[in-house]
Amino acid sequence: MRPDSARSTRGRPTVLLTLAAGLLIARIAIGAYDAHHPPPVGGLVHWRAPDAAEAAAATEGRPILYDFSAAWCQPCQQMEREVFADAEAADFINKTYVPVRVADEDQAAISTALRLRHRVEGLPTLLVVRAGDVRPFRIEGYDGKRRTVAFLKRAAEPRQPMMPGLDPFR
Amino acid sequence: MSELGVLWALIRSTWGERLSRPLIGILAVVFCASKISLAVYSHELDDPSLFLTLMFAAGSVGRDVTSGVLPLIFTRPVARRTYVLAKWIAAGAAAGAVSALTLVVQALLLWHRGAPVPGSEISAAIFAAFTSAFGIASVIVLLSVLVPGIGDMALWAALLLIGSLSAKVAPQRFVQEWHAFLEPTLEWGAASGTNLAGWFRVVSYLSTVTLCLCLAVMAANRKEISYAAG
Repeated sequence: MRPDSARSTRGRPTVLLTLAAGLLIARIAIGAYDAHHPPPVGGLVHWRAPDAAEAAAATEGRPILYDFSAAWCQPCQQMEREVFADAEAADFINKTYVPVRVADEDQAAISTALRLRHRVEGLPTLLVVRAGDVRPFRIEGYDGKRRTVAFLKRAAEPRQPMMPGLDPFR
Repeated sequence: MSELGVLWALIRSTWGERLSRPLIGILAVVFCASKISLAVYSHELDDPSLFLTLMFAAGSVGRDVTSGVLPLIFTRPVARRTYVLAKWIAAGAAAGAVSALTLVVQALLLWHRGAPVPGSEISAAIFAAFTSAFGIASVIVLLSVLVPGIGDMALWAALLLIGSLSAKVAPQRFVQEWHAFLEPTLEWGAASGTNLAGWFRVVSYLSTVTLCLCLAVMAANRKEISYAAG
C-alpha cells in the first residue's frame, strides 16, 4: 500500500482544472459571439484594390499602406474598431497613404503573391511600402491604438539613414 | 509546513539553482546589454522577456529528472501541483523582473539622451514583459514535464518551426493560434480594453496559461518518479 505522503503528492488540480475549463469555454463563446458581430467592414478608410495600388502610388506620389488582416482575427477586429473606424486616424491614412487591405479570405493571385513577397506570417500586419524601397516599414500584431497611430505617423516621415541590420522596423 | 510555505521554498531553491550557474548570468547580462544598446539606437523600448524566459525556464523539470533530484524532492510530502507551480512562478517572476529592470534602464538612457518615453508606455511595456514571461514559462514548464533535460527547448523550437513552415500551406488562423499558444502574451492595450475583442485576448491568454499548467500537473501526476525510471 502506498504511504499517505506519497499519495498526497498526486493530488488532482481541481481548482486549476475548473479554471482552465471555464476559461476555455469563455474563449470559445466570446470568439463565436464576436465572429457573428463583426465591426463595420473597412471603417472610414478608403481601401483600394491591391492590383491598382502600385499605379495609384506612383501617380499620387504616396506610399502604400498594406493591411494584412482577416475577419476571424480578433486583434484585426480590434484595430478595425479603434483605428480604421476613428475619424482622425482614418483621415490621416486617407491623406497620407494609398491604403490597401489584403484580407486572409481573399485568395486572388495578387493577394497571395503579396503575402508571400512580404513574408506575412502573423495577423494583423501593417506594411508601408515606398517606390524603390527595398525594406518596408513593418509592424506585426496589434498593440493598441496609440502605438499603431504612432507607427503610421513615423512611417510617413522620410526614413532616417541607419546602420545596416539595425532597422527596428524590419 | 503549509502548501504555501512549500511553494515558496521550492521557488527560492529554483532561483538559487539558476543563479548558481555562471553561464546563465553571463548570457542574461550580455543579452540585456545588447537590447539596451539597440533600444538607445532605435529610440524604442525593446522587450527582452522572450529570450530571458526561455533561459530561466529551460529544463525546469527535465533537468531535475535527469540529475536525479526529483525523486529526492518527492521523498517529502510535496504535492506535484505545488512543484509544477513553483517552477512556473520562479521562471516567470525572474524573467519578468529582469525584463522590467532592462526596460527601466532603457527608458532612463533614452530620457538621458533627450528622447523621453512616456510613463504610460513604460508601464505598458513592463506589463507586456511580465505577461509574456509568465505565459511562455507555462508552455516551457509543460514541455519540460514531458521531455528530460533541456529537451523542452528543442521541442519548443521544433514546434515554432513547424508553425512557421506551415504558414505556406496551412490557413493563417491555424498559424496564428499556433504561435499564440507557443508565445502567449498580453498587451496593456488589450487588457485595459472594454470591448469584446479586448476581452477575447485576455481570456485567450489566461486560458492558454491555465491549460498549460493544468496539463503539466496532470502529466507530472502520471510520471513514474524513481531512480530506475529517471
